[in-house]
This record gives sequence, structure tokens and C-alpha cells, in this order.
Amino acid sequence: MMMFSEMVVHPAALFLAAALLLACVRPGMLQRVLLLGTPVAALVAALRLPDRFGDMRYLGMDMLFGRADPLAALFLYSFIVLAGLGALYSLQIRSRTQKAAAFAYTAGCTGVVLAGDFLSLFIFWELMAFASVFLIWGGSARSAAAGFRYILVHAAGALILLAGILLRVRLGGTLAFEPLGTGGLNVADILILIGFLLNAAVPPLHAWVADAYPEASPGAAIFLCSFTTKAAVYLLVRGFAGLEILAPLGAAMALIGVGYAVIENDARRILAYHIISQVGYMVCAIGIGTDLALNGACAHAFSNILNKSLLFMGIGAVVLQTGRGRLYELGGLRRLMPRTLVLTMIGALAISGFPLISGFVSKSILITALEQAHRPGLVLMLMLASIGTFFSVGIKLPLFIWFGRARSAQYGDEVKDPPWNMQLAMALTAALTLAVGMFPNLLQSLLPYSEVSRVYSAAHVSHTLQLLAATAIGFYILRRALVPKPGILLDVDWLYRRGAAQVMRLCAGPLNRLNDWVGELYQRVGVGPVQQASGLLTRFDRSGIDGLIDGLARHTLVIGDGLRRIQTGKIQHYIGAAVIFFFLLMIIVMLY
Amino acid sequence: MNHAVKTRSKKQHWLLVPVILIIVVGVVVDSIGAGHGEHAGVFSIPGFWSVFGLVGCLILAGACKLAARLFLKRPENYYDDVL
Repeated sequence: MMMFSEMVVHPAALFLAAALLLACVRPGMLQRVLLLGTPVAALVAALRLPDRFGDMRYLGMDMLFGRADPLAALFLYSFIVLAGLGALYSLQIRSRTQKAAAFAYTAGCTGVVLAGDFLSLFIFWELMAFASVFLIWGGSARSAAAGFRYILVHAAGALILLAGILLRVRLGGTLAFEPLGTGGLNVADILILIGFLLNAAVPPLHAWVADAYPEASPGAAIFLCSFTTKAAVYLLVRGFAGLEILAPLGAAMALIGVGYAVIENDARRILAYHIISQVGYMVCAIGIGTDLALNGACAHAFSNILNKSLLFMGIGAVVLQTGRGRLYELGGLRRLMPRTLVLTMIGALAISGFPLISGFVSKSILITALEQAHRPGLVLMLMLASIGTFFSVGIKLPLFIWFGRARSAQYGDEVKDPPWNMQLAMALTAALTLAVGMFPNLLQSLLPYSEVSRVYSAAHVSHTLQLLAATAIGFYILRRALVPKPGILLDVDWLYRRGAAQVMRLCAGPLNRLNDWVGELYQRVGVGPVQQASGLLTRFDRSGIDGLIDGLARHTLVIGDGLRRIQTGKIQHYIGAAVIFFFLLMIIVMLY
Repeated sequence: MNHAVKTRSKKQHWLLVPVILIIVVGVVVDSIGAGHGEHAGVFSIPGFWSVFGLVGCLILAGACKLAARLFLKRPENYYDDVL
């Protein structure tokens, strides 16, 4: 068992214990105390953590459960704070499984962030994957299937990560989680990288985000939108800072995410695509790898955890109160849910990088780092993504949900701002977002690397406001073409939803028919002539040569039998024979 | 009906005033030199980000709309018969 020195408590242990209790207690006072008290206790425990704790030896391997350096601490604090806000928001959720899963997921997430070796990292990683799928399963009618797809994708990702870890040990590496690939990437590093990239939703491994998260219940979505992808960002900062390929990949990711968000119809799918887009900024900065860029990535992760969960809270409240989630079904809610509008708008402006709100601070650090690294192309790509962000979340989302008239049937009388605890959770998140935006030193003092930049300069504010204003004019010009209409968008998940079915159909249809045809051909061309030939030979044998060459008849029968055996009628055998024949031919050609 | 449409479009036009004002002020701030020093080269040309914002917005939204129309958009029940 793990031996902790006195008063050192791993936050994951607190969350796991709370998850076990939450699975047992009925809704009531005790449950509320657990839900709200655990994150507070965990935050206190996290603030008291020493730099290093929880060393142990297991199966001859060194494990380190706790490495609370400034990089880990930043992510740890934000995850715990978010767990508290998420718990406050979801007090009404009745399902015990959901609540237990939410805290087990938090435990996995804090465990991953504190893990100092790959083995404990992998254990908490799996805990995250399996706890989160239970969160997804508690959602809409489609959530069962979406959850299965989600867990299949993540099980595959975890296996790739495990293969990478095992191969790393086999190639002579240690289990200690230190920066990887400093002297060039080997196969083990690449497998570990793929595992991380899948959880960070880097294209083409991104479709699970927009497939699964929008199907989760509104409370569960807050945990989901913040944890898995940002934990992966932490792992990339820790393991692959300065890996050049990540810079263009991240910028492309920011654009792909925002491109889908611009044309997407479902409010929560828009937000899901924005997770991909915003993580793209972070991945891009990780690829640059300077101290300032890494600070930018961490700051952006921190501010994105706040403003993305605020958006999911606001839109979740709309979905919960109206029972509708698609933009063409919504509209005209500003009189019915005015507080939700104001609080959601703070999140929307924050993610768009509006001055005085958190997103501006983190984007400013990140973009400055890119400029100092002399990467104008990447700057332009990320600025283009910023345009799309404001376009889709800053204007399109609030416009089609809260303004205009309801585009389908009128709302019932029960549609109003959500219960007090949800409003309080949103207000607290919004307050944090604004605090970070107005007092950037609060965030900058938490950043792990030494290099910082000036956030509020006349140039940055002027350029950002110009960009946002010009985007608003662009939206105004295009407004008639942007009215939402029913429909869904294809993404990479098509490959395992429809694509797999197409392969099955190909096997059942054309390939099967080809097999029948070859079988038929064999019957006509193969068996017939051989039988005729052996018949002829038998007659010839009997009539003339039987006495002369006694063994010939027997030999012919043997050959005919052999030929019949070779021709099995199975297409795999013919392909195999063709391949062998081809190689024989090659050998003959090469010999001469 | 006609009247309603007219008032709505009037409202939308009114909203453009502060937006254009922001751009004008931004370009002035750029021109008096406050915008220099942070961004390098072409990025510090007065009004560059306004032009980039407008052109970028039109191109991004246009390209995405086109992609949706050509091959991305499917009916809502597209995946209903598969897992």
C-alpha cells in the first residue's frame, strides 16, 4: 500500500472515496455535503502537497504518485475548482451513478496530472476513460450508442499508449515520466504521443468529442468538456514540448474545429467543436516550445477550462429548460432566460478573446509567443480561428437562441432561468473568468515558466477589437445565408459508423458475388475439362496403351486427382497462388 | 408584415454604428503609432486586422458553407439505423 507522510493526502484518494460513498447514499443532505465538501477538501489538500510524494515500488518498478511541481499544480487547481463548480451545477441530477462517475473521473484526472511515472499515469488514465463513459451514458436517448463508440475509441487509444510504455521499457527506457524524444522520437515515443494526441482530440483523432459530449447530460458535460482534453494538453506540455510537428498540427486543428462550429446546427456540438479548436491553440504553442509559448498554452488551458465550462453550463441550462438543443428549434429566449443569457455571453466573449475577460489574457500571451518565435503564418491561422470563434459562439449561438422569435413551437410556461444552484455555479465561473481577465497577474503568478509578457498593450487591445468588429460586419453581410436548417455534418466518425458498414456491405455484396463467380468458373473450366481429359485418357488407355505402358493410367488418375485438389474454389487460395506465381516469375526474371 | 421587417432591419443597421466606431478608433490608434512595437512588419499596418477580420470572416464562412453543401451535410436521421 501507499505510504503517505502525515497530512499529505492525494486529492485523487479523496475523490475516489467520495465517489464510492456517492454510489451508496441516497439524495439528501449527506449527498450534498459530499458533493460540495469533497472539492473544497481536495483543494486544501492540493495546496498543502509537497513537491514530491507517494514513492513506491511495485512489481520491481518505481512508481511516483505525486509530483506537484508548478506545472502540475496549475492544472490540478483548475481541475479541482472545476469539479466543485460542476458539482454545484449538478446538485439536481438524481442518478447516483452519474455523481459517483463524475468524482471518479475527477480522481482519474487529478491522478494523471500528479503522476510522475507512466504506470500510475496509465492506471489513472484508464480510470478517466471508464468513469467518463458512465457520465456519457446518463444522457440523451442516443447516449448509449455514443458512449460505446467513445469507449471503443478510448480503449484503442489506451492500448496504443500502453504499447508505447511497454516498448519504452523494453528499449531500455525508464518508467519515469520525463520529457520524451529529446534526442529524436523512437517508436515507443511515437506510440505514447499518439495516445496523448487522441485524448487531446487532435485531427484525425478528434471525432469522438463532437460525437459523445453533446449526448451527455448537461451536468456531466461540464466535467467532460474540461478534463480529458486539458489533461492531455498537460501531458503534451510535460512530454513533448517543442516537438515541431505539433505547431502546424495545432493551428490546423484550431481551424478545423472552428470551421465545423461555423456551420454546425446543434448548440452543444458547436461547443464541442470549440473544444477541439481551443485545444488547437494550446497544441500549436506546445509545438513552439519556448517558455513563453508553454506559459501561453497553460494559461489558455486554464482560461478555457473556465470559459468552456461556463458555456456548457449556459447552453446546458437552455437544453434542460426547453428540451431543445438545435438552433433551428430555439430563438427568442431573452425574456424567458435573461440571466442565463448574460452569464453565457460572458463565456462567449471570453472564448472570443474580448478584452477584460480571461480569454484575452491567455490568447495574448500565446500569440505574443508565436510572434516572438517569428511564426507569422501560424499567427494568421490562429487569428482566423479567432474570427470563427467570435462568429460562431460570440454571435451565432446567442443570436439564434436568445434573440429573434422561436423558430418552432412556442415554449411552455415552465421555461425560465434554471434553479439557484445552477445560476450560482454559472455566476461563480463568470466571476473567476472576469477576475482573470481584469487582473492578469492572478493567472500569471500561477504560470509554471519564468517568461511572461505584457498582456494589455494599446496595440493588442486595438487589434483584437478591430478583428472582432470586422467579424461582426462579416456576419451582418452573410446573415441571410446563416439561418440554421436541419441536418447533421459528416466527420471522421463516419469511418466507424458508416464506413464499417460499407466494408461489410462490400464483403456481403461484390466480394461474395466474385467468390461465387470464381467457384462457378472452377466448376465449368476447372472440373469439366479435367474430367473430360481424364475420361479421354482412360479411354485411350483402355483402347490402346493399357497393355503397353501399364502405369500411365494410374499416373493420369493421380494427376487428375491432384489437379482437383489444387482447385479448391476459394478465392483466398487463388490470390495466394497468384502471389506465389508472381514471386516465382520475379525470381526467374532476376536470375536471367 | 412589411412594417415588422422594416423595423427589424432598422434595428440591425443601428447595431452596426458602434461596430464601425470601434474600427475607426482602432485604425486611428494604429496610425498614431501606439500600435507599433508589439506586432512585427505587415501586422502593424493601420487597419490590417480590420481588413483581415472582414476578408477572413467572409472566406472562412463561405468555404465552410460550401463544404457543407457539397459533401458534409446529411439528413438528421443519417446515422439512425447504425450504432
